[in-house]
Amino acid sequence: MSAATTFTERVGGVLVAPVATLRAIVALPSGRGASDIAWLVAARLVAGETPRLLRAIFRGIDLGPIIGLQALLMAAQQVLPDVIGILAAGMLLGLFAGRRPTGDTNADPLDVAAYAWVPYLTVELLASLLFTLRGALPSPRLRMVIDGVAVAWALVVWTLGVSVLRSARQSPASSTSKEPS
Amino acid sequence: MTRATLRLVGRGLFAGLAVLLALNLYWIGRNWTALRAVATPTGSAAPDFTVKLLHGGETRLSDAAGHPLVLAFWATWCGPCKAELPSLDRLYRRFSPDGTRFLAVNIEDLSLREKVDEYARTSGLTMPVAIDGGLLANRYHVDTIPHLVILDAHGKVSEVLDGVHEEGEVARSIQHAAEASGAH
Repeated sequence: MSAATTFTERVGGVLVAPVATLRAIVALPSGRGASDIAWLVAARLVAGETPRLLRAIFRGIDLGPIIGLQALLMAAQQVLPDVIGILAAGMLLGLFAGRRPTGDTNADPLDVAAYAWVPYLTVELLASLLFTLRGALPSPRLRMVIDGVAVAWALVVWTLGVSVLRSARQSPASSTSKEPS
Repeated sequence: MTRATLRLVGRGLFAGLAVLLALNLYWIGRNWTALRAVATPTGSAAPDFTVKLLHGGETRLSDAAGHPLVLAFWATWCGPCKAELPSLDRLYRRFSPDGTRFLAVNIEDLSLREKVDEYARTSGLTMPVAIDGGLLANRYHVDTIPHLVILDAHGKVSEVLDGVHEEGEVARSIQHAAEASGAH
């Protein structure tokens, strides 16, 4: 298996080859994983909440910039649970991953936890597309099942992330930052 | 697994986001008029209505013909609305002798009538309260509450105030509507 070296490869790899991809992510410079996923969260907000964002802009035009800004913040809140989830997962991963070796400039727990959100996004995105195309909302029970699958898959990747980051920290020489993209 | 496979899967996710964006843009195109209308435009004729009053009977837009009218959209779950209602009620007592009409329009479900009634009683509201399950709010493009629509005596929208506003500011807006109407 070749290491994922670009953003697109890391996003795909975390879904189909999580262990090898997480190793590649751990070898990245600190902050790279989190900034990658910040772009993905922004893309998810724009793609998923376009009508709400557009309406916020119209409210700003018609009712004043403060009202528009409030409406934009309300729209942005739609991804707040995802962001809080990533931050909490990053903090927990930091607790489980062990002490960071002195001078280690490789990925933080937050970088690894951020990539563990990709499976969650994938399941939720597929469900959104499916139900949008069908023109119907899922029943509350089905909604729970979808959320459950999304969280479970993310949890599996997060657990693998704990293991990979722990190993990297126990043998820091094997995971030095050398990744160019 | 090859890097090409990883790229393909990654691109699949990005393509999914692009499709979702395209579906949303399509929906926007089909619902442009409703999406664009975020408030009843100032100067436009107020949408006509008939609503049931909380304490029986009903009221129409035409009942306020020749007088400024303040429509205050609110709900019992809305803290800022409940903070603003007492000052609106004071304005009602101040301006109603001159002919200005007030209507506190509760947007909640009709099944919550008793709860709304209890709140109106315990908070000592004296202005007329209507409840219509949010139909009037839809007609006036109300997204967030509290939301005030101030009409002049000719039934045209004089001003729309979104969010909480100070009593003095609302009073000035009512005076402006009354002056524009030639009612004062």
